[in-house]
Amino acid sequence: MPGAPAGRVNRVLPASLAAAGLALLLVPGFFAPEFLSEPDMANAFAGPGAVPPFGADQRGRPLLEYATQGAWVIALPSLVAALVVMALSTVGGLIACAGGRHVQTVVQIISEILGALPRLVVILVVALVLPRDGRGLLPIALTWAFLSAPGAIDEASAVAARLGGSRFVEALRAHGFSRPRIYLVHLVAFNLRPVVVRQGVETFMQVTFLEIALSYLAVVSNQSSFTHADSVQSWANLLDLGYKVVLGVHSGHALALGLGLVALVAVTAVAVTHAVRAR
Amino acid sequence: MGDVHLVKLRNLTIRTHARQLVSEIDLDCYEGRVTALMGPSGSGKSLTARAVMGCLDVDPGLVDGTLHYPALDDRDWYAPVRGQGMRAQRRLLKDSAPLRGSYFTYSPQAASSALNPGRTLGQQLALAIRRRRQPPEDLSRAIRDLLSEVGLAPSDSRLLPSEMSGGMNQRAALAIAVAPLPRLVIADEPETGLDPVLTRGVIELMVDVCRDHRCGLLLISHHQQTVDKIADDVVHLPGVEVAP
Amino acid sequence: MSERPVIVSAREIRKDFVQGGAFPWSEKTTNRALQGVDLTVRAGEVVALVGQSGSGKTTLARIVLGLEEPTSGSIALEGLRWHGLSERERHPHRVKYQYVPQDPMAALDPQQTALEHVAETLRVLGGRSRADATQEGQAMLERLGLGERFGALPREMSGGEQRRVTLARVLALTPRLVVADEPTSGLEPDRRAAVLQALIGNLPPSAGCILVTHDMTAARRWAHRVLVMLAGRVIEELDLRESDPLHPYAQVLFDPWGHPAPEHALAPSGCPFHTNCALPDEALVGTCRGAVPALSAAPGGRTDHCVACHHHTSGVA
Repeated sequence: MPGAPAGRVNRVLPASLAAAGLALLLVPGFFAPEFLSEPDMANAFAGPGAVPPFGADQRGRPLLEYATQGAWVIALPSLVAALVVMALSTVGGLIACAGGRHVQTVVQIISEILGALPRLVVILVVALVLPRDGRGLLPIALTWAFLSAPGAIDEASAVAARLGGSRFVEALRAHGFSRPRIYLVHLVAFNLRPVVVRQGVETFMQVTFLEIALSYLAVVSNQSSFTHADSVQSWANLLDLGYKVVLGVHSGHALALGLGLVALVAVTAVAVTHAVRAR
Repeated sequence: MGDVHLVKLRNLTIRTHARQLVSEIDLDCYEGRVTALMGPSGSGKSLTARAVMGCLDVDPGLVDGTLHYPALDDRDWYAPVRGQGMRAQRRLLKDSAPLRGSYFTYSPQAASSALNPGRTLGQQLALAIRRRRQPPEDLSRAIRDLLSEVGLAPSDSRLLPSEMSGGMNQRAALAIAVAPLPRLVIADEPETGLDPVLTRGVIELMVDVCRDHRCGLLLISHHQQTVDKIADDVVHLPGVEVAP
Repeated sequence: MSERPVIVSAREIRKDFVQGGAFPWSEKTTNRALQGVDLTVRAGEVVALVGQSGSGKTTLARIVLGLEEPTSGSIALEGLRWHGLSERERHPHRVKYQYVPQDPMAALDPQQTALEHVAETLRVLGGRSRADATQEGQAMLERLGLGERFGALPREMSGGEQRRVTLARVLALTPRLVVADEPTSGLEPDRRAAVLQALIGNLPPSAGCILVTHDMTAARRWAHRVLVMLAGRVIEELDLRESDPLHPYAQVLFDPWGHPAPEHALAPSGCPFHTNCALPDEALVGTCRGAVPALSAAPGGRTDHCVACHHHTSGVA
């Protein structure tokens, strides 16, 4: 039965927002200083006016350095995790169309086992097992990616099944199209694209928030962080500084910056998903 | 006439904001008789059948008409609904709910839509049989009787719809439609997707089973030959030109 | 018609489907879907394959296209050997021998508009430039009555419109053979004519067409030749516009209400229809039960009418 008209899908606005957001998230990390600046007590808790662009912490060090160091900690591992999930999901969708029953059964079994593992417990175990000097977000991010893969693969397989799976491939082969065209253009680019990119972006967000949460735990319990060296600050430090505003300590701008960075991640994620959505 | 009058529909008129869907249609159904509803695509056959069951789902919907079930009582079911819009229609849907599945049953166009893909045939028949006014003592005996009436083997009650062929699915849908011993069976284009030989078999079976159970049959069809052979009364819906 | 070039030449096609049991050691069941079928299609001819579900007509159509491999027998398309080839060997020729699947959505991409479907086919398979592909695509869609639907996605279209988009794609390539599997299933009678008109009315003049259907009216109206199939064999071959069916089963198929309905299952040996056949068989008691009738010329002298029935071919009718 004919449905409601799709209308023209406007991708320009979300794509521009997405590009801007991704640039802001990924690029500043490369300009992060290796160590924080020297303390300057005269500027303790100074606002953005005195210490541009975001103000200073309790020792007068610019909050910008917190932001960029945090970005450095987060950027690459989150991106890698996102790409791993997207790759596995795409492969899952391809297997649902092309793979024989045995391959699909094997994938399903592996998915079920991985999916049954308790995610956060495994993450914490991995974090604790890492040697101190090997601490970083990447191993944790990769673990997260593999544990998220089963759900992503299921979704991609469902999209492939809705298309018609192997019957779709057979009909287009009979028409005369080559296999690469059917799989890469029709299956992946046209149909899997919205789902797979959304999954990648979700993973990016999840790893980012995971890092903030783990570092925050470390900060409030005065432990070394699981995800970065002691000399480096993460966005959790910003939030920790910021939440102290409740105690009457003047760090409102730290809180604003911390929450603003979290919001930037969320908005970028939504913009990317919108830019690649299905018609 | 002697046959019990089951449905008396007069002057049914249904419209959307854009156009008239059904205009001034009269329809009568009697126990033991076959009434055929015919018309080209888009003429409102399914809509009329649903209206007979009290299901009006178009806005503003019913603008004129009266509906009586003389075998039950004198009530005009459309009185509170005529021209009153969607809210009244929803209320009618709720009020008429007890009738659906016991006074009449509906067998939709694709037989497999009538069947729950996750339940065996036996389980679905049991569910339908329990809706009878007087449920039988021996449920499994009732199931076996029904299956043999429609030409299925007792062992078929263990099958899922996906394990049955198209023809078997149609027979199963028929069994489920008559299981609650309704007064009227409404069959929506049962010949869809079946080849001519199978179609004749299924439709003849439908007519025989309905006659045996003394229930009326409202058959929606576009197959002139079928209707000529088996229908006692025919209602024609004039068509609207719709692009195929 | 007999001087026209042969497009499809299939001889003695047999196809068995072997199905394993529940366990690896369970007995396997063999379904003899096709038991020795010949099929010839010439340029400009429309051949209809009719029969009930399970008669083997869809299997035969798929084998002709190379979507299934026959268990034995030979197929040649335009003189080129077609059976036993690998997919890679068949691939370059597929453009000429097109398939219209039964499910209209099977070959459509939900993310492409009607025009994009046809333009892609013309660009990628037809070698046209982007601008030419768009222009020709629009013309093709207009010819099939989809002039208002260029920008519609498959989910916005009715079943009949979806079918016509697939037809537009297939016909845009000016194929040499079109195999349409139940192109009118699920459509109401008044819409069926439009789809068949769109298909057959727009066939290239030198193309052949195989129409798999159980819509007998359509077969009578559009086909030059009709092959009636039952239990994996062709039991009658005729031009419906010139003659009427002789085989008892074919008669039931074409006029279900005018003949007694078959009540018994098909016979596993001998003539498959003998358990349901109304023709008196005292003289041929053993023959109908024991021997499968061969397809031979029907009485009456018409060369294009063959029937597989002991009654008709032994002169006892």
